[in-house]
Amino acid sequence: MSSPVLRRLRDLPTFEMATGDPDPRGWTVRGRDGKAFGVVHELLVDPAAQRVLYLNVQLDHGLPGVPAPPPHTEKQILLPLAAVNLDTEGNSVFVTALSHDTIASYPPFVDFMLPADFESAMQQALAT
Amino acid sequence: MAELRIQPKKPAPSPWLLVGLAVLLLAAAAYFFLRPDPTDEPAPTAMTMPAPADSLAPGSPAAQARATPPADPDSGATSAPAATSSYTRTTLLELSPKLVELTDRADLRDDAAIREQRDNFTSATARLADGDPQASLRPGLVAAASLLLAVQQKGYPNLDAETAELMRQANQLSGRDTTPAEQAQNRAYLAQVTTLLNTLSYPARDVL
Repeated sequence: MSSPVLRRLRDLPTFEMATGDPDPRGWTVRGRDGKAFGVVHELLVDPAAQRVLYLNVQLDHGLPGVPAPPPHTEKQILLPLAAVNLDTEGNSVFVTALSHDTIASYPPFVDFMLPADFESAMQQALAT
Repeated sequence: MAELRIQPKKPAPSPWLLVGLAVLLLAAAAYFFLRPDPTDEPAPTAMTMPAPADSLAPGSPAAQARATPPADPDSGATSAPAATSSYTRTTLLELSPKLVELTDRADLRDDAAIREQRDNFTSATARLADGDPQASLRPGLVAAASLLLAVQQKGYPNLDAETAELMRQANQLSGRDTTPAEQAQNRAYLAQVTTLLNTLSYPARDVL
């Protein structure tokens, strides 16, 4: 089974969110402790399957254990959509496998190119 | 576990289509709001009255009929029978501005019954004025009598018998103008209308 070709939704001008499905961009991302640690910045989608696979989350500044990003950059992570719950009424994304204190151990998303072992690293971080 | 789907965007309608629709809407709105009100138009006169093209040809029966003085219908009795085919129509349309002018007189124009009858008459003769060959003569002829009756009831009580006779004649009209008998009947009726209109054109105090 070949890996899906991931694209940012904003780079696909001919696509939009499916009717009835919420667009979580801009929603607050919270851990199992309910504390916010970031905001959904972008969606990574598989155009062939017409599904959103990852949420590109921009982390808040000052999180414990998270080093400050280089100047003019933001600390970002990817969250598999299968690992989150969407709160459409509160416009929030809940990640029960992470918390405000454990986010530092989650692999950062430093480039749009995904290394071969990035998927397994994310799964491992979510499993702990 | 969340699931989000994406879909191809639906093709948006062409902006030119929207522009075209907007222009059509504006044109329709302009037509409805800016068209002249029929009640504001002057009553059709003999000089401006449109008529079928063939009736305007020099020497045609219609032209001869038009040349006949409407106020003296008896003189038309000596013309050829063919010339009477549009005589009734022409005479009625020539009487139209005089009837409307009568209702605009200061002592008559504020009367609701007269105004209503004038509107009826204008409406009944509109198709004739437009030159519609299929338009019936009867509504205009009867409306003329009704209008004169309203004027008489307003200020000429001593002309009751004349208007009653006119209404009786109006009710006997067939509306056609084809046979000699129908033409004679219409001619007599129009003569009566002309006479009564002339009488009513004088102030009530001057009519004995």
